[in-house]
Amino acid sequence: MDVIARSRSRLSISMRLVNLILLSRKNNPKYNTNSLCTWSQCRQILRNNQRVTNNQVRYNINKTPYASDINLWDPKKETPPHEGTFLEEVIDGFDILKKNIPVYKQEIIDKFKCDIDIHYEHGDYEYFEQFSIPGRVDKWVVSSDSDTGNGKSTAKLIHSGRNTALFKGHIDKTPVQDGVTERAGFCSIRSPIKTKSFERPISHDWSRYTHICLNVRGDGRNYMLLMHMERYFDINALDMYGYPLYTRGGPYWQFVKIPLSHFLLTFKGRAQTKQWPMNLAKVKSLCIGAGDFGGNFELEIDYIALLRDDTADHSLDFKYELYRKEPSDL
Amino acid sequence: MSWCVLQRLLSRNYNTCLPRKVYRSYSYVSYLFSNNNFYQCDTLKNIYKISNVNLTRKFSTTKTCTQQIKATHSFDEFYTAVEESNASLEDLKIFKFLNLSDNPTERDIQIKRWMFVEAVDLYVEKTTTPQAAGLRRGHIEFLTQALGRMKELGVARDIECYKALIKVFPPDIMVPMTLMQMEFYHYPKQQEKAMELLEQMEDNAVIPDQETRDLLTARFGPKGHVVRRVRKMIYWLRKFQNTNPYKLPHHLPNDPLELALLALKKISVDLENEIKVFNVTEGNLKFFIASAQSPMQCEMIKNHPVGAPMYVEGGFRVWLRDKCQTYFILRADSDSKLFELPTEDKHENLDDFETMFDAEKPKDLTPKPNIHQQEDGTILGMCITENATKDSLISWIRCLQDANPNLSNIPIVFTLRSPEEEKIAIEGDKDINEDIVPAS
Repeated sequence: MDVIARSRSRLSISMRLVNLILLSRKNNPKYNTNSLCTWSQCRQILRNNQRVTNNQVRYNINKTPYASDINLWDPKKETPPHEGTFLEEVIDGFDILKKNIPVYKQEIIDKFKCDIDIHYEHGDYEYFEQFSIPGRVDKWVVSSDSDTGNGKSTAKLIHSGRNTALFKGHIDKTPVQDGVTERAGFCSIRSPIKTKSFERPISHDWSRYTHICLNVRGDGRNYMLLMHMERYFDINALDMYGYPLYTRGGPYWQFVKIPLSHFLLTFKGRAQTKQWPMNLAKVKSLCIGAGDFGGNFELEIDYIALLRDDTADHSLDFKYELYRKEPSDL
Repeated sequence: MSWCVLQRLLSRNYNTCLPRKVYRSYSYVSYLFSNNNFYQCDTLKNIYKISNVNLTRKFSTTKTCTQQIKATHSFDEFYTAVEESNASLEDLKIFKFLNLSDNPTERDIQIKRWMFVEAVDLYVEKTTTPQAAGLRRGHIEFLTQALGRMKELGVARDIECYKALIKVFPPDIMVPMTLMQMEFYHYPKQQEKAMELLEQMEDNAVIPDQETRDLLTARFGPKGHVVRRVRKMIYWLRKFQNTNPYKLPHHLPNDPLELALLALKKISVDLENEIKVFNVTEGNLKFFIASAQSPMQCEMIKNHPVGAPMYVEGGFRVWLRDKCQTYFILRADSDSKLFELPTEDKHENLDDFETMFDAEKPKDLTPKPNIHQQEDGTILGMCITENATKDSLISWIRCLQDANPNLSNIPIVFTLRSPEEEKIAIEGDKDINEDIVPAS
């Protein structure tokens, strides 16, 4: 009995010690000590950004823990992977400092001047994207389902030679034969994410505008305008506000004007039952998607702009009903 | 007397008066643990005073009964049977389609719809024999095959066919009665198949109506996943029913000329546009040319300077849902003065001021270009030809000369490419397929 009691007391003392050591390290992002009781369960973040328990490191087990690692992705806890040695990283960092310190300085000056746009009038507009400016086309991100191996469609965004951009590609609707995938065929272009100094991402503030305007020349097919929202956790990553972009086709340019209140909440392209108006102050990026059809497509885009139009029914925050019914009646 | 016959006889009464009252009088716990089959037998016996009837459920997917006679037939068997019988019997065909429409596309749709619905009905009738109906064995397989074949048979956008397919699910049997049934996805395969059917309806832009909803309610209960899905579809699809400003008819025509006319109608911006059809014979070939031109465009051709060339360009693509049309345009170079905006440099030069003696020339004002004048060219006509060859385009220009006599004085350059080809725009590089046609 005594032996057991002694060993227990020893264990408890050692546990306390370990905890103390861990607590002292708590602010170090290298160690994640939030939900731990023993040293062996403590997880380290390795160089390749992999979270492994101390026991695994000790016994050189390369398996990732399966149960304890399922948690929300937190952008603040995310640490970028190390590239090269400490010295190399510091040397690389000098370039970033050189570029970004004047930008940061200007930001602070602006903050002190308090020169914020509060006043807005009917007819205010802002170009979100003008493809006539050279170099803008390359900044957009093109993606299709062949990138992730979920399909075979391809797409690209190129200069059309007329100071406009051309979004063209081919959508293949045959799904990959992996036994799980049922449907395929999707391409999209996404606008670059807005950043301030030191490449910190910030969201677009569109709260002063009521409409989104596009000058496009399509091929008679329907596309989808999608808006990524600035949301904290990754479970909201696929929540997007969308509205179809109907194109006429033919040689004539087409001016499309869509009220921002018409955008509806979608998850993976499906309209949600519980709707909520879009927070216009927190728009991360705009996306133009092509799906729902097979074959070649071509969409020429001149510009994308935002407009405040008071003559339209701007008092409308959200076009769709927000009432709720009992879950049994849904 | 088997279960299904009884159920057919009493279906209306069964549907209305069986569950509700009993449900309310039972306490929650007893409701939870009640044996469902026993409970049904009891009430039915009490209500209709029927004894010696076996009311156990035979309709199940989990238990396979090998001794029963199989009633599985594939959808194709039924469809070919219907096709053959109608091909041989002309009288039947006439008798069945008394109210056939004169429009060929509509008639085609009607016949296709009838064939499909007849094949499905045949299956349902065959499997309503006392032995097979209680099982309706293999109806999920039947539905899978029928859903897959719908696009080939040209009925994918027809709501009547979907309704016929819903009727294949046996009524009343699959309605959940207890809380446990409700909770644990009662008859999963059937519900999944019904969801797939609804998904296909959504993909083909078929909006379910009240009848669809009633049919599904009778089969899967009023609050199951399937009916909830239908309700969502009715809500959302109707919101976007009329949002497309370039709306097409629900069934597209098969005739190439009608398709061409639809495409030209969709493309054209000018409301005064006149769409003409020229039927041309060149040697052995006979083909049509659908051409769209407005009076404004005719006037612009009339005022076009004689020396400056015009271009026939194409083929470009326009899509009518999933059908593609190739069109060509007649284009002239745009007037660059129209699109020159007053630059800031002119205002900044302070020495270059104007006195009151100078002629008054407003700098900020520019003449507004009309609809056809765009920055990359002035569009003077559009056409869709049947075979989309260069010869057909030359004859298009000849046809246009009747309305526009000035065209014969203007040199016309043909810059043609197939719509699949990529046109790489490099400055100073000219197209390969350039031919100048001398004025005739």
